[in-house]
Amino acid sequence: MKRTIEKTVLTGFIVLLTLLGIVGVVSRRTVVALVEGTRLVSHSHEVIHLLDRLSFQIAQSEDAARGYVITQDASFQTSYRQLRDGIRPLLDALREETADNSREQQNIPVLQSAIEQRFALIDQGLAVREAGGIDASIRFGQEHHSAELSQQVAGEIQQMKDLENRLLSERDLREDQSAKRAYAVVIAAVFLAMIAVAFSVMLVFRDLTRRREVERMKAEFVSMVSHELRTPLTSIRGSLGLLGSGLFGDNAAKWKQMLEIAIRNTDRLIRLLNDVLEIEKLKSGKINLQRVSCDAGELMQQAGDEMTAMAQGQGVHLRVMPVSARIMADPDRLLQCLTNLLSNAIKFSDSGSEVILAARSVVPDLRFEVRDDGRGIPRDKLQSIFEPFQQVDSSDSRRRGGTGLGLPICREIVRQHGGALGVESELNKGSTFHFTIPLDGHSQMEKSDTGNRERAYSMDSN
Amino acid sequence: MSKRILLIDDEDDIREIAATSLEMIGGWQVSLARSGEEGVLKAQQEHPEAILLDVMMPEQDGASTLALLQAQKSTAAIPVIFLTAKVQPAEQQRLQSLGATGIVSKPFDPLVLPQMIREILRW
Repeated sequence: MKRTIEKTVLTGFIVLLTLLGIVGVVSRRTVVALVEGTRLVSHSHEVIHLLDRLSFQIAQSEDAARGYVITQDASFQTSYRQLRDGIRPLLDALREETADNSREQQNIPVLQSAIEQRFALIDQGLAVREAGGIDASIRFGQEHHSAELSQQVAGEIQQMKDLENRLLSERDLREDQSAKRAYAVVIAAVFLAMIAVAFSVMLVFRDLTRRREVERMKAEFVSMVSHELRTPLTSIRGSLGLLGSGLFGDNAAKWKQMLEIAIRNTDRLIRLLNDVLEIEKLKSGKINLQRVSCDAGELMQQAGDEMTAMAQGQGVHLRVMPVSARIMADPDRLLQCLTNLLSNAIKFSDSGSEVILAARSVVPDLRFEVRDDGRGIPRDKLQSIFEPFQQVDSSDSRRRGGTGLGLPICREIVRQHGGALGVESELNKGSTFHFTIPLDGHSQMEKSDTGNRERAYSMDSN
Repeated sequence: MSKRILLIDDEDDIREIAATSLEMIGGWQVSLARSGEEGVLKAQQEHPEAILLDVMMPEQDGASTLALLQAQKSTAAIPVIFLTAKVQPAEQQRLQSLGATGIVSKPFDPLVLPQMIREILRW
């Protein structure tokens, strides 16, 4: 999976936008709820205020009526009538204010009827006062339960106030809860946004670090290739320049030496270019492995055959111990890998020593091994030798025809087969390069009869 | 008496070409070393008048060879010219900062090499 900085930034941006959207929606809802809550609270206060005014006006009108009963002063009567007539507009206002509340709407006719009864009784009491005097009026009031009626009206009003107060506290509670919820959502969203930002920043930094590392490795590779190209070019340019100058006159030996230098280094350049192209193709996946079920033993023998001449030239005993096993591999590439490892082993082996190519089953893989008794590899180079141009001794390797890309190519081939290339080595005792290739699942490894099949390739095998 | 130059390079062919150039065109006496270690040893024994030093060598590279030469009284005063296939500006700057007298880039023209050395050393 390739994650680019652009993708990371875009994902982080989308997450942030989503979270901001959530915060926006929640904030808007909260504000709307708060405005509505405030409106309802002030509405409740208005209703309570109206009920208080009503209660006060009824009490005042009762006081005025009482004043008239006691003093028979006409001004009390006028005042009573004004106060009584002011009750209806208050009731209308109350009805209007509680239009959205059905329970209050049900209470209003009850209250209105109680108030009307109360005032009808007062009006009658006042008429009795005029006709029969103060005592008759007081008696009338007592007989018709005037005080109880007054209490009933006050009770109705109190009931409505209680209802409104209950509504008020319910609204307060709801508002409080919704504010708390909104607060929690906003805090959570901000927290998530911070995590998203931190995560995105971390990914971007990781991407940048990785990218920088890749760029550094590319630059290093280009620098190494440049160096590796310039070295043989120096020899070619130099030898041809000296030849062209006529400096050597008829010194045939010098002519020959310079021409050999030019040819040797031209070959080295060609090998280098081929290997650079090869590893680039392998790494960029432009080479598709043609993996088929093939006989590991045959491939081992073929590799041995190919390296016989080189081994004989170096006086090295090459012993191949083929196994009978079927593996899933690209035979050409596997052969390339085997001959490369054998060639390395032979190059760094002393005359008279032995190089062995063997294999054994490590289910589900077949493990190939190329063993030599050569000089071995220093511990600190065991990892780096698989990197381009990181031979243990580059000049030594070049003299022996290497480009510094053999092992990286092998590693890439093995890797593309799903295996791993490694090495075990002891200085001055020898090295064992080994790699695994998956066994063909349909066939089983047969115990090889190495006694019959083993082949030795060496100076004296002819 | 002609000048004596020590040439340290691990590449056989380049050593051969440079030595031919320095001897036949420059007219100098050339001593050869194929590694930094061998070079330091020869410099101590022979006290050459200049050293041509390859940068990329196994084991002991040009930079550490130069450091060793500079650290020793008997060789500290010998001018050292780097011979390098590292031609990127950053690489050349790094080499310059190590205290070499000059740098000659590879590939070089063997017909001009002695002249380049003369210019660097003001011979």
